[in-house]
Amino acid sequence: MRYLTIAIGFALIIMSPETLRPQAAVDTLLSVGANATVEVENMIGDITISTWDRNAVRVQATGAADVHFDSEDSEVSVEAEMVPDGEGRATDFTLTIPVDANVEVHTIEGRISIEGTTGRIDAQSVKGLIRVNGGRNTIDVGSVEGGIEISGARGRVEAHSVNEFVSLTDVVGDIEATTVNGPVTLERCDTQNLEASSVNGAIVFRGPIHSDGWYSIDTHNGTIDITIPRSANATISAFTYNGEFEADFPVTVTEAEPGKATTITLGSGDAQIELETFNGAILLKRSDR
Amino acid sequence: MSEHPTERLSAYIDGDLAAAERTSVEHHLETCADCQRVLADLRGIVVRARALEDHPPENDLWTGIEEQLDDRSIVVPLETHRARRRLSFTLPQMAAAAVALIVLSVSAAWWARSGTERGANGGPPVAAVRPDSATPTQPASLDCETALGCIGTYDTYDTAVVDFEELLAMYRDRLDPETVATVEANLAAIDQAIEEIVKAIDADPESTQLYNYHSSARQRRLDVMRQAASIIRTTT
Repeated sequence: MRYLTIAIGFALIIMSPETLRPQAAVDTLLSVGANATVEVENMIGDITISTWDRNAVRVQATGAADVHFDSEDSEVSVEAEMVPDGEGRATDFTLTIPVDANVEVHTIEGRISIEGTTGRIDAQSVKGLIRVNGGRNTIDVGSVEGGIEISGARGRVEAHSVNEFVSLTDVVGDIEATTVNGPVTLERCDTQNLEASSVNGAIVFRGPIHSDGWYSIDTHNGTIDITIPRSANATISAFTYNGEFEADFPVTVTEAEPGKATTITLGSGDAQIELETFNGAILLKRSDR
Repeated sequence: MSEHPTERLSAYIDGDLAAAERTSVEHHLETCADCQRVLADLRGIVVRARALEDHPPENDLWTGIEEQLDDRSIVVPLETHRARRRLSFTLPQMAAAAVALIVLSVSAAWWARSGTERGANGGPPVAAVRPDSATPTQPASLDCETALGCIGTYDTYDTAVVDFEELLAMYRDRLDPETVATVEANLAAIDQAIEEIVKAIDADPESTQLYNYHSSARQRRLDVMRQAASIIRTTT
């Protein structure tokens, strides 16, 4: 009887709708020219993109959707089209692309991971973490319910979430990092133009301050924690309505009337730093570097 | 003395400031000779601009010109000319229109896309979208052929907000409920923040910092709406 039960169970697993439909497996190599653009449109499933030194795009996909290709010399587009009985099931993509290719990736639900490309990056999702490692050009990343992680990028970075965190590490270049409900963390970010904002979340910035730089950081319900080098020359305008302003080093406050920003001048005061929070504290720290 | 509200004086003359802002500007003007001068200059410009009306040429002069014209059809009636000249925007209106255009451009693209791609099977093949929903109709307030043509209807922040909410309401059934709830919750969070700022301004109408902060918060709401419009385009 026990063997019969096992046999029936095994048969049920094999015959379940999930397994009756074969998982589509795609592995295709497409030739492209230099500086090509690779577009990927998915609905549900992860997208993982890495690079190689070949003028070709390798597309590997597994999942329930039909995968369509459109390839020209300067453009490759890959699209997952959901089949009638595949609704709600994922299709995962793994692409290997030329190192100088531009990337445009859109998915509704799934993680996006992009590594190593020197071309433009445009990655958008509704749900799912977006992770970019590297990048040497414009990086435009956005999600509603997904967090954003960018590291090692050199170029202009725009990272926008709505309901999740935004984290940038070791980024060099202009930065725009915003969310509504989540923290914004900028670690070792070397930028001359920074705009970082949240509504319900703390904002952390650690990085050098350039004399001709402009740095704007604001949150409504969160702490602003900023660490700048001891040698920074900057004029800091710090405004908090219901919070405290703290500095871990002696500062000379030139203006601190109610309803107005506290202004602090460091060195020659060249760079402009604007810090605003309504219900949070502002913590100003100095590092030795 | 608070900071000079120079950038808001034009809006003050046009009557475009909210009550609290207007009061704040007026308080400042009572004691600031510099801003009084700027205000007087601006009013002078407005008066001079209004004085630049079109006057029909003297009949005898017009007759001479008329005789030299080969094609009278190029003559634009004076009323038409005046009507064209009235189509002008202040800088804040243009800024608001620009933001609205972004939202509208995305929405227009999405409408165009939805019209061509949905086809006979009735719904997009997207798991995050309910396939059984009826195709919504375009909002009456957006009844224009192109996004560009809608600019004139979007001259205020409030209009953009109302129209976006109308858009979201119509497509609610087609979108993933969780995503809609997330967008709405985050817009509500921004609204709450704006409300807190407005209360703070009421308590401290002299604070230009709060006005700037208020402006930033509204801009953020527009940005989130823009992002949400993009999602609608992607998922329907």
